Amino acid sequence: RADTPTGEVEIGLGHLSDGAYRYGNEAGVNEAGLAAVLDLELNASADPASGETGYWTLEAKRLGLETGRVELEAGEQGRQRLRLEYREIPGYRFDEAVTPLRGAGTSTLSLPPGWEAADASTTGMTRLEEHLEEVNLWQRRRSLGLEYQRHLDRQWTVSADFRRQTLEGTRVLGGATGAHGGNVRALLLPAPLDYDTQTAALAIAYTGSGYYWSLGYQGSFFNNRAGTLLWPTPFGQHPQWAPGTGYPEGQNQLALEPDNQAHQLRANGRVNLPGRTRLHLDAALGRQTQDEAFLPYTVNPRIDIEAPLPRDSLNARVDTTRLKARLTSRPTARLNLVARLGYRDRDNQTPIEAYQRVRSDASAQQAYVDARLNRPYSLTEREASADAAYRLARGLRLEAGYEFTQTDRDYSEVARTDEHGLKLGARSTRWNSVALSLDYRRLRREASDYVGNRPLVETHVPGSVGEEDFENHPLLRKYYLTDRDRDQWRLRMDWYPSSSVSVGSTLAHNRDDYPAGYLGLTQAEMLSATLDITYAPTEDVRLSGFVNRDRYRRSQSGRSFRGSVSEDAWDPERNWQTRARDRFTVGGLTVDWEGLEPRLLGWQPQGDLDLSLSLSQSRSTGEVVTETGPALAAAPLPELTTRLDRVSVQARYHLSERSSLRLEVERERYRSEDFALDSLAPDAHPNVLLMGRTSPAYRTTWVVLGYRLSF
Amino acid sequence: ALASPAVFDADADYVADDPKVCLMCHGAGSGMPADDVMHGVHGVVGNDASPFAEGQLGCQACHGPSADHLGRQDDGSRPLPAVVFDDRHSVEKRDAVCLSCHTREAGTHWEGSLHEFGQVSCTGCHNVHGEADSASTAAGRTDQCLTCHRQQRAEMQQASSHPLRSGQMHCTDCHNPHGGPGPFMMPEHTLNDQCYQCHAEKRGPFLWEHAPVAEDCSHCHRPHGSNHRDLLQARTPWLCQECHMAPFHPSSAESGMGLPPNGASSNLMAKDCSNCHTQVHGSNHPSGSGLTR
Repeated sequence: RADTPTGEVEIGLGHLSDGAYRYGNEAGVNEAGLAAVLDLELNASADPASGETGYWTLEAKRLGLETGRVELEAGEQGRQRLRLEYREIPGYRFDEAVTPLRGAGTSTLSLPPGWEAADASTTGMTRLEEHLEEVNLWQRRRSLGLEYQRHLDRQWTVSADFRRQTLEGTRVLGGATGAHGGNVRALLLPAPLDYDTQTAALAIAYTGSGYYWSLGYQGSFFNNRAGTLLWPTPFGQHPQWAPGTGYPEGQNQLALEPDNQAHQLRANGRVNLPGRTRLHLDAALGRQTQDEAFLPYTVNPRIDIEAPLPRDSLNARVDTTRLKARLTSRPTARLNLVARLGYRDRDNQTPIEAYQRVRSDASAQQAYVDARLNRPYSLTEREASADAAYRLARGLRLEAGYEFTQTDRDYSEVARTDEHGLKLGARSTRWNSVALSLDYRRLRREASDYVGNRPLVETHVPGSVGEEDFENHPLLRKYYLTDRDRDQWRLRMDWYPSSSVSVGSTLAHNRDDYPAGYLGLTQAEMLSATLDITYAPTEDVRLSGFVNRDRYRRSQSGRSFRGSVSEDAWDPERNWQTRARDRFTVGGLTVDWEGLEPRLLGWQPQGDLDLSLSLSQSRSTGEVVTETGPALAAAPLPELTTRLDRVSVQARYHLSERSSLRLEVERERYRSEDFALDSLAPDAHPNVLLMGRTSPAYRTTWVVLGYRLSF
Repeated sequence: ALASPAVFDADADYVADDPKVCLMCHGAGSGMPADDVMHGVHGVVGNDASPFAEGQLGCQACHGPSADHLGRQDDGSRPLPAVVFDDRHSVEKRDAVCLSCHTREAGTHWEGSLHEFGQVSCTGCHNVHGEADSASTAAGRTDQCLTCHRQQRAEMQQASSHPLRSGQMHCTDCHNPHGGPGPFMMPEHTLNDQCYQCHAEKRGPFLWEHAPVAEDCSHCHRPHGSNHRDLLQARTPWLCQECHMAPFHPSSAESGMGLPPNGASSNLMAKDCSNCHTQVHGSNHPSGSGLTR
């Protein structure tokens, strides 16, 4: 039994000054004009001293906007709990994209009547401009969850969790169609997004004297309600394409994400051992399946299909095994020890077949010798690690650790990688007003023989690829498979010069080095520095600010080569190096002042005023510099930038003990520059029909006036 | 009813009339009020596990036998209760008190977790005294996390990020602050399993898999924020070219030569590589081995 609810309800009326599409991602409103907002918070629980344990709470935020959230919880303290949650997460990408395609966001796209394609290029689309229509690119995720947990007694607990997530919208996907001489024709498609995922988790747990165990099941069922996308070829017929694959007859079909399922049985437990030692185990056996019916090799009826599909659907199956074991021990009050073992196996049992493709719905079906074998990747990872921490006298703690990871892969350039790591750390609280910590971690990954053409050989029909043939350049080393040295430093300091002031700072540096003399990623580096200050002179006043600077750098090498000129691959004059650098500067300042007694032209109202001021600024720049050997040419790329400035002022005037008025004014300005989007008309590329999107830029003001009633 | 937690000295004496005696100095309006604990979940006497339920030890259920605290030391100060929840007593000692009742809530992964090993105490996040524990509310949890995780707070402000700064996602959607079997205190065993909780469409298994995708999402994505679309580790096409260097366009040197007025490279414009290779997470089309369909 719960008592009469208490809480507060706030009804607000907001106004957005200027339409700002991406502003809606966070604010839940992006169209200029008025919008109503409802916030609700209700709590009901008996007086703790009454002997009753029932309670319920209801919290609803931003109802009326597209970022609404509702949480309802009810239960009995210490016995059972039921929780219901609903969330909406919008994603607004672009509202000024243009396309000649009709049916945006559906599974079937079409060209408008009167479409003209004089040749197989965008310049041949002579009536493109008059057929362009605006299309919004957006998505909305909705999540509804129901959790229940009940302690049957002091030992047994059961729980259930059901969740449904949907994701709807219109996204942009690339679509490739016919090619000639390696030059593919493509266009950007306003594709549908219509996912529905349902999950269920059930568990039972037992807490005994000195031990604990639980058993559980988790199922996940993904359903794509828009599993295919059919779209017409807007390019005119090219002589090298199969007959009837250009405009007006040509059609293309994409297979969007197939329905799938995942099931997992999980057990975990803990047992106390002698000597303040405990053993923890967590194991899971799972199965992931997918058996969506295949689409045909091609949707174009004029392409002859001589070899049928080897099967109607994939009958894909991945068996997963996860195991984590952990031994924790505190042999003395000063010493803390942890040892861990881990095992992860992804055993892909999907059948392998030869698929004689029709490339891009515009070519003749490939012969058997050119068929591709699917690669059901499997992976086994074994981990072992140990950490020790020793607390010295006078607030000094030392830490050390070792870690090892071994990974086996199939169909991969590298069959095995071994990674060893060492960690050292020190923390000091020796001085009353200062806390310091320093951590260092070094990892070294060593790869077995790198056989660059193994994926090529193993995905082709035996005998169709020579031992020396290659697709990727033989000097390429993929960064996640090759040798790597990783160094990570982190320094953290917190200083409390007085009871009302705190200063915190963190400095972090990561660096990855890859083998010299190869192509691919050669170095990656991150440097991050933060500074925080909080000042709270009284209980009613609080000022906090932070500034952060991050820098990321990546360097890579490549060699531009043509398959038709065999010397290219060995010509160092065709080398290129790219250095990319991203910089971020983020700062924020917040002042909260409660209980102000305002005075206006000599008049002093009765109520108190709470004020909150928030400023934030975010800047980023991205530079990409490519240098080439004498056989190639390069030119500078424009800088990538984003700038976000936000000012928010919120005032709450307390009309009485139970009612208040809130005025919130938020001003946001966003600008960005991206060379991949800006100043590129839909037909800026002869072979790719673009969407004419431009980098988002907006400035808008959101004003809300709300009335809150507490009860 | 619960007995006194075993973490305390069995020989020490308890104050007889707890909480009445305690509240004589720590009641509302005193200089050191602590009575608000009676108004929160710990004060629910109907829950027989509550410190204030019948037969329980009241304030001393957590602070331990504190009869000495009523007396004075030579310097005039009072001896501390058996446990106080600040730096005057060790994290291990403080947490042992909480865990003597909250083993189930902490879960089986707390010991040996990054937080436990790093001495993030229970009361470092949870407010025991008071009607509400902000770490138990969705918004409060994120704020609580960001007081320590400053770098993640900055990453959340970057151009591409999960909707954390707007409060539509919370840190606890992906991390369990009490530990988990996965990396970075994730409740799922692997990073990919965690990502599939919301991105089940990328789980497949697909006919044509993209090897690094099936292995580890973080090979290409940064979870908290990025300057590049879709939380990518680096700008495409260069990110793709770190692993793909085949003849012709995959190995091309991309620079300003590929933008108007110098030229037009489909590797640089719009979705660059994804203009054609649109199914980078895997394709189930029989003709889609190039991840274009």
